[in-house]
Amino acid sequence: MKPRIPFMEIGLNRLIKTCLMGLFIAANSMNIWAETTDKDMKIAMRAIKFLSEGPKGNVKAAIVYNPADSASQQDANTIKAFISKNPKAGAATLNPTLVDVSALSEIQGSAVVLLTTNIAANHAAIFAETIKVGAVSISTDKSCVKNGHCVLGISSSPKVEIFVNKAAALETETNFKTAFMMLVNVL
Amino acid sequence: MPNQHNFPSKRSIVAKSILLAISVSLTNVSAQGIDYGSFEELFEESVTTSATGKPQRASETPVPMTIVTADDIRRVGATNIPDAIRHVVGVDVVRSGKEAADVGVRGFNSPYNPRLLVLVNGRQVYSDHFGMTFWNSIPVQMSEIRQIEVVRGPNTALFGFNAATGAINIVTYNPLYDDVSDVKLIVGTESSKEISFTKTHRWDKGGILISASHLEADAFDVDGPRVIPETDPETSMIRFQGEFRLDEKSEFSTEFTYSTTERSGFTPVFTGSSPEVDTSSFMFSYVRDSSYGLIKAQIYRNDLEHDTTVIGFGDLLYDNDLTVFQVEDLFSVGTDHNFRLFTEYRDNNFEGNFDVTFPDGVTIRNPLGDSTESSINSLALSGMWDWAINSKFNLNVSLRYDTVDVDRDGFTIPGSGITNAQFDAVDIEQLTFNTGLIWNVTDTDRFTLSVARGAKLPSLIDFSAAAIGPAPLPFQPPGQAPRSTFTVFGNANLEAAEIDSLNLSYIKKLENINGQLEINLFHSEIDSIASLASFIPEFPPLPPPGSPPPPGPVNALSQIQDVGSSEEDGIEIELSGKSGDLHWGFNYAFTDVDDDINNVRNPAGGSGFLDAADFELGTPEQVLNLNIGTIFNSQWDADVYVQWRDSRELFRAQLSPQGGQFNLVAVDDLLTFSGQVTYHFNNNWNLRLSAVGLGEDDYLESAADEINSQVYLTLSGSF
Repeated sequence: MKPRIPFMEIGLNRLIKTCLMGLFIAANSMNIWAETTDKDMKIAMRAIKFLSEGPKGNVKAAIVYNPADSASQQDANTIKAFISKNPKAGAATLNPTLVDVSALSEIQGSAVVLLTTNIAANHAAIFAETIKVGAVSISTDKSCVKNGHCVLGISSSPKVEIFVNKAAALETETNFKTAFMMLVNVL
Repeated sequence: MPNQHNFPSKRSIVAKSILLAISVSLTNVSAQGIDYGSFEELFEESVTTSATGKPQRASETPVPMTIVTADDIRRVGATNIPDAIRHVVGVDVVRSGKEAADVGVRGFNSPYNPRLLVLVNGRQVYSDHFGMTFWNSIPVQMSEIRQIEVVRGPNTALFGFNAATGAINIVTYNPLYDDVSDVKLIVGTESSKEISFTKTHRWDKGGILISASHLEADAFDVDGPRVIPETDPETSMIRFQGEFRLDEKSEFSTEFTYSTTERSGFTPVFTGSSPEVDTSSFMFSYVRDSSYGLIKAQIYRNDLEHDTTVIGFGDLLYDNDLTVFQVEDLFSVGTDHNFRLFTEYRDNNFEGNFDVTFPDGVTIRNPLGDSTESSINSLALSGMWDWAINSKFNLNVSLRYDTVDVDRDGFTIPGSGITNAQFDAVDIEQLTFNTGLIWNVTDTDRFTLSVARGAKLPSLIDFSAAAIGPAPLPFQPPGQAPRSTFTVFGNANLEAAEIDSLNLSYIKKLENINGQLEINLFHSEIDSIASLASFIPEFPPLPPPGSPPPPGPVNALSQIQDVGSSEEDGIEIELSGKSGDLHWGFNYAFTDVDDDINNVRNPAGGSGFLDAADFELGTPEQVLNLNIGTIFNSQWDADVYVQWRDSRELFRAQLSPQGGQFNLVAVDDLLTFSGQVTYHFNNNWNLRLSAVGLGEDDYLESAADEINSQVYLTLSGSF
């Protein structure tokens, strides 16, 4: 057997302890879901590809917003601009349509519903409409997914995170591919 | 428009709740297995199934692993797989010849390293006859590799026996999803010439991939007597893959491969050999996404013909065929639990034929009998449970149970007392496991504690016979016959070697440098190390040197031995970053090995041993890798890789007419440079100058002959 070198052992032990101490001091920032960004939209459009038997061809994409809220309005503009430039999502080509929270019946005919920020008070009502049309609802507001009012939650920073509310998916009859479901956070 | 669905549209809340709780998998889904490219695009990182069998993001696996992407392979300038992974932390590449290399992961490396399982798309390309990988026979072109997944530590619970110290799964592009069109012309040092191509063709319901290559080169120049024969390497291979979508929920895939190779290299008895190896394989698999989960059934068969001459022995012809049936189901229960159920049956057969070349040049068929045959049949059941405990914690547990039956036919050594019945009575049962507990401290910090038990099964040759050679000269009776032989024989008492491993890892994403820090602390223990390198003629004993030749033939025996155990402690640190077109990386590994191996010194004197296995001296204590690269503009990019590797001592056989022994050879520390510079003519064509091992001239990496730096010029194009 090779003789052990005492200082080497001490050095390794110290190194290990130092590493562990350093690791425990790591910053503890919580994930903050921001307003919708182009990167969020890029992720959302890619995620649509993993819908099982998802939308094909030209389909309506409802962007639900509150015109009285500037952040929501801004979000809606961002989402619409992005989709207009990049309408392909899986086998579907999305046709973005702005829908006022006060006129949710206009969601009818949509295959995809995108929720802007600052409309939490309307999440339940929007979800009720998406159930009727069997659309997949997507939001960057985690509370919407957590509360079962959105199917898909997207966050792209600091790393890509995707949440799926299984109960909401069941209610809207939205199906995702198995491999996708194993890669996302299922709530 | 409502989506198509499989659940009734109206249910009561109670019914929905019950359905939600017990539903197996969320839905019926398309039959797609893993569309690696789309997932990589979605999550902005590689995706793998090589950690647990479940698709996972590279940053979320419960086992330490590195994914070498196609871009990484291009950057390192590698023209072969060992060179593509030689800068991965914890990986030890020991090149003994122009096309011969042994690869170890986290120590315990040795010639023909049997403790590292290597697969291509889940089909093992590791050969069970010796328990080894002929890296130059893997029928895959560099241009068709999507990623090389290097698992550091045991993963027998997922892959089966021999994923003992690690596993490497080579994932190729899938013609159902990916388009590849590549032709390469490579010229390099040692008059190396290679042509290769990969081409996919896709249509609505399927896709095919065809790849092929031919390589010729000269053996490395060696000053002085050679340890391994001077054999100019030559390799030809072809691969066909077809992927077909039967309907929205089912896929069928098939693969056929063939390779034929010739080169020289170093063997587990620490002598040189010049193997000619032919491999062929076929695979059929069917995948269906059902309401019971993602179900996959697969059958594959590997055939190997290994014709070799080992210095000190005779002409050896090994045949090995392996047929594997696998069925698995991957499914979810509720929102937090994923499961994988798996069963596998393996039918593994070996036949060895041996010709003995005597010192007077006469070659005769093995006088002990025509051949030796052995088979290992095994049945395995395994399960994986992945539990997302909450947003902070995740637990993954994999268990696998194998039952192994051995059968042996053919010659034995007269008078040795060893019978085939002893081998037939071998019945091995083995439980292996992998567990990993992940703690996501924050969105950017993660700890993982993993505990695993892997296993290495004795090889077919360990249960049969490895080689036959002429007995040392003094014991050859004069005249043509009878003639004495020396046989390295199997051992029915060998057990599966268990490798226990504990690993603590910390990963932190570093947004300010667009990179990542990863630290791994590990401890591993391995028992029942089987060594072919045993010159102890245990029964019947050869007469002592200097004694008169015996009147009749001596069928001397050396038996493969369990020589002991070993353990290691180590730390691996990796840091990488990216800024614009500049990317860089650093990794450092420290490994402290403590052997408990009973090497027997040669009683006749000298410094040598009569048997040999040593990981303590044979493992470099420290290895440091650095790399930096950039894209200068649309036409030029370049990368430099630097490796410093500590010194080590490795065994080499010293053979003489009177017998043999093993001596330790010092392999100095090495500072080498690799990398590439590429000029892009346009989007389709480029010219690359790449190198491996610059900075050292005529250097030893193994205990065999010195090797040289290698420089290549590659013209690549898509068509």
